[in-house]
Amino acid sequence: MNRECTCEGKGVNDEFTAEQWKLVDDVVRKYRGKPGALIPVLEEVQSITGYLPESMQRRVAKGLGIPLSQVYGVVTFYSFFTMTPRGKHQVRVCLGTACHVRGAKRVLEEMERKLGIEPGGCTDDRQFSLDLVRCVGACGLGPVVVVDEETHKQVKVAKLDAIVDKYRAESPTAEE
Amino acid sequence: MEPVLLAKRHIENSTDINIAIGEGAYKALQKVLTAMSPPQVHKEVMDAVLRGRGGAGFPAGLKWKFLDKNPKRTRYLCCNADESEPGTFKDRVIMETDPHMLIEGMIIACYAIDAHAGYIFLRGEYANSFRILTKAIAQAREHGFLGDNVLGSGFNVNIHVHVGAGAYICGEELAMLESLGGARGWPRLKPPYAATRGLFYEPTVVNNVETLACVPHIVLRGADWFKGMGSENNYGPKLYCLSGHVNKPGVYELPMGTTLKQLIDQSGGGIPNGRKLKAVLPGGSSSAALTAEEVDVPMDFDSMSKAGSMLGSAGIIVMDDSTCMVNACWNVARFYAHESCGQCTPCREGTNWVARILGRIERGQGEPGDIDMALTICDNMLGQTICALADGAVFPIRSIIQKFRAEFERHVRDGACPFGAKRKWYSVLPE
Amino acid sequence: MPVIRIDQREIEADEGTTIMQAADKLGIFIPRYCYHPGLSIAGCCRICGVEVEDSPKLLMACATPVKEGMVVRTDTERVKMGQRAVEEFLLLNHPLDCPVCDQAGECVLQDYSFTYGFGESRFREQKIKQRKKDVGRDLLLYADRCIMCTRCVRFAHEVSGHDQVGVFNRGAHTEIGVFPGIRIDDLLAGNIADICPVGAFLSKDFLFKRRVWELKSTKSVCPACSVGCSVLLDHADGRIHRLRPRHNPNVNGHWMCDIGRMDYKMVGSADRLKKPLARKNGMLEEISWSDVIAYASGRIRQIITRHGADALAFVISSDATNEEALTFAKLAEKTGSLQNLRLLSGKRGERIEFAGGFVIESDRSPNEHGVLDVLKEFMPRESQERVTDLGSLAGKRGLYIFCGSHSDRGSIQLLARAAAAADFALVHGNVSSPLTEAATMVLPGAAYAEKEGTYTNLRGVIQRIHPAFDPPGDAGHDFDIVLQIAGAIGNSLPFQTVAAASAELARRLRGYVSMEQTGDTGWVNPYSRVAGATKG
Repeated sequence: MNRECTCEGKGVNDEFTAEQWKLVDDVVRKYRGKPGALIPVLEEVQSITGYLPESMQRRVAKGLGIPLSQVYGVVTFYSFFTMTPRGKHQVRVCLGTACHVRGAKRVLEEMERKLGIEPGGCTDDRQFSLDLVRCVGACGLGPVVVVDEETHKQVKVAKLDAIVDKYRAESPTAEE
Repeated sequence: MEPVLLAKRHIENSTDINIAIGEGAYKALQKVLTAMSPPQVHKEVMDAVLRGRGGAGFPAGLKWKFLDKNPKRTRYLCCNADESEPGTFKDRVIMETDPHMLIEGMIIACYAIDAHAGYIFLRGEYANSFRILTKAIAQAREHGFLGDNVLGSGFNVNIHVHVGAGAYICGEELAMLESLGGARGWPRLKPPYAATRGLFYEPTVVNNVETLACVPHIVLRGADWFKGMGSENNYGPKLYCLSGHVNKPGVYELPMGTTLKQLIDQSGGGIPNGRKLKAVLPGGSSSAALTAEEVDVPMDFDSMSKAGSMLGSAGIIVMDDSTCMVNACWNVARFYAHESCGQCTPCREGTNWVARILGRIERGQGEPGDIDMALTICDNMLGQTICALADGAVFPIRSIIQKFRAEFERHVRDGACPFGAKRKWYSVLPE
Repeated sequence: MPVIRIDQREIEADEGTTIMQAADKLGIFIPRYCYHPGLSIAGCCRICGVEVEDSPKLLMACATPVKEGMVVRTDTERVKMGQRAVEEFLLLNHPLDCPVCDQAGECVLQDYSFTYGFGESRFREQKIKQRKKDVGRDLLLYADRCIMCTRCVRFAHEVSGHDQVGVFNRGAHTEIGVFPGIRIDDLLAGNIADICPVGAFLSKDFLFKRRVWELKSTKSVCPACSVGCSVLLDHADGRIHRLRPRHNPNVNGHWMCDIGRMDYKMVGSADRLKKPLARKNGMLEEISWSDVIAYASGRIRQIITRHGADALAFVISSDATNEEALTFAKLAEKTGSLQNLRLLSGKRGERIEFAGGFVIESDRSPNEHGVLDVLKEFMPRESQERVTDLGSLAGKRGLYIFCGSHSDRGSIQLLARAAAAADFALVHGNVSSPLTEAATMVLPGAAYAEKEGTYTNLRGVIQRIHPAFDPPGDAGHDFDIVLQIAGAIGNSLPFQTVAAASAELARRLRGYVSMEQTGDTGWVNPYSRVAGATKG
């Protein structure tokens, strides 16, 4: 049966701490049995783990009693969910129609150069990941760059240094 | 016009319940619970001809009327706050400046339709709206506006916020309900409609944020007051979102039916840098484009439809004469290709195909016949799918090609973009 | 009941049915990919669009309920344009690898492309490619041939209930698949390859064996359990290459299980008995049919004269058809040994019920119900309760055992011991077993795919089987073999053909009908001990 995971333990490696697993299980327990729980659970789990690899999807599927095919289907459908590790800070450049006509493409090119990664990528030090988004509902402020939950409006290429440096400063490299 | 929906926009801390109450919030709810029966509330909204602000313009009163009233079933109200249409950001402004107006509207609507639970399906990108709404709901509960026995009336109601996970299609009513149920946002076949088989397969009304925000005002000031604004059959205040090449982009509240020209020239302060207006997508990215010659048209549901476009979400994207229309068209096409849910054959395959053809034209790799081919693909998608996403892709793409065909032909003829598009392009699609 | 018009023809449609179902009833064909009568409605392939008066858009025939006075057109230019468009869209990212695809010949996409398609491609972009995946015991997934009809997903959810198959990603990248590490290994999995309208899900067992147009299909009944699913035997050159379920609302609905699907291997197995055998100097050796019949009947007569009819026992397996059971019982009647008539039961397994109601019964043989009906008709009342008591045969001097390939192994061992102890043991069967090893003489019989007759399933549904080809080697038809034995003993039976035996059964057994009257979906015996049919 699909619901019974046959490779529990496989993929459950040192990737996540015991503390993280515990938090994940707490989230699953909180929502178990509630209708429509899957998406809020995945959102909360991703906020704990940063991404949703197979091992995490198995844990959620088993915990909620939902088929793995449904969990996987949902994870791959919604653009917020990712199965690859993301940076500590997520930089999202809006390419919506309104931002596009106000020069979002140049902003994106410059951001790529600055971080040295392509959209979808993550810097080697796992500090930044870069993504494209298609409209963040801030069309009056375009072009827009969203870093984590903060929206930067009317971004000019010249302002990018300041933006990136701000977050870089927030993450001391001594953390290692 | 005295602002109605944006009345608290410039008041400091307007999201705090005490400030909001000071400005008149929850007055309508008190009136409803002390002096009005659910049918009376319903009749007032019906009389006001409150047309849905999410895009389709379907009268909210009728939607409520069609709801399955079987007392044995659980009814739900869903607020569509999945504002994902490019060019649209009005609902965000309401939620972030006047969340209590929305909450009050939802409580009243629940009362009218005999529902005891309301869900706000909030766009995932709106993290700030989420914080504000969550706090506002908690405050409303503390004040006895939510929960059991609201204001001693015996009426019970709760509101939950669901954060979307990033899919434009979830703005579609039945896709939203699928998503709330924990599934992929695949629109359901209609019929049955949400009114008989909605959230968790129970009867459900889905209304847009702006629509629900109008409800307290209609109840408090009456249908006639509401009908004093706008034009025949298109009543009330309306939020317009201006973006793109205008001097003052933003959300503006004006009576329904203000002309597009007025909006661009007066509210938006005209086109910057002495440029000239070239094209407008007037109702979000799903609406047919209008040229500079076509903008003297009232922005209401019926006039816009007569003008060959639509009011949609009233997200006005303005493009000046420096805009490459092929590039703009490609941008729109890629959006829909990326957001197609993949369920229906014509949309899944067609949106992607058109986007790739437009990409080739923009990069100077177009071939004779490509333009007509793109148009026939549009014809093959239009009206052939479960939901309206494919139609929403066809309207702008087809209208831009038809109205700016010479620009497309020049791209093909010259083998390059005359606006100097570079070789590098971005796409989430395979090229 | 609403009266509607389709292409100017009027039909009284059943309440709550769809345009598609009404058109099917009229014999007007509307193309369909996602629609499957055994699954819920998806309405996503969009090829079944029809014009309905007063409706601005084409409506999907599969999803639109009929309404009184509805006027439908399935043959207009607009309808054809819609079909052409869907065909074109579906082929955009399709690899067009028909020459190496097993589905070719029975591929709905291929067939519709000829009927409804453009004939040439306008697509100049690069196709999205995907690799072949091994997704189950008997399933391969060629995802790039998939047209996203989602039949498989609905099947796994609604019918098998195992939910292994899902839809992943979105837009043009939407694909059908399984979660990494999950396999589609439940016992209904084979149906997924059947219902896939294209070559996306294919059976490994059938892969590259035969082109489907080389196959002949024979209507039969699966012998692997007492449900008796209606099946088609797809065969060529005297070999079965695959089984497919045949729709039967009385029995199996649209499905069959993989135990039954693979059961055909027994028909062509190396264990088949192909020659009559007789023991000489302790060893079984080949012998001619005329000799074996003569010797066997001689020994039977001898036992009767020396030890009386009670020294003789007759055992028949639940693999036998009703008609074979009748001849066998008649033979026992003629020799006066009816009190020693016994049933050799089928193998037992776990009873498995699936989410959609499909059941695999624990009796893993085809005709216990029917054989018992016949035996009890003939046996004296007082010995009927011993009909399955094989232990009571110990000490019998002569045994005639009609063994089956689905017989219970323990019972076979028991009988083998009895056979070894008896003076004479005549074993009649189609595969070698411990019982044939212990026999004095062995009569090679036919497998279900080689014979004619009827089976009665667990719920009393009487279904007909047809021969696809002849038995291998010198193996004979069981019915004729029993007749010959009876004739050689000197007791010729009152019927000489299966059809005549079937008519006799219909006369004698309550609620039975003759073979011809069973039709393709079987006859539901109204007096049967278990009422109702398996849902599926």
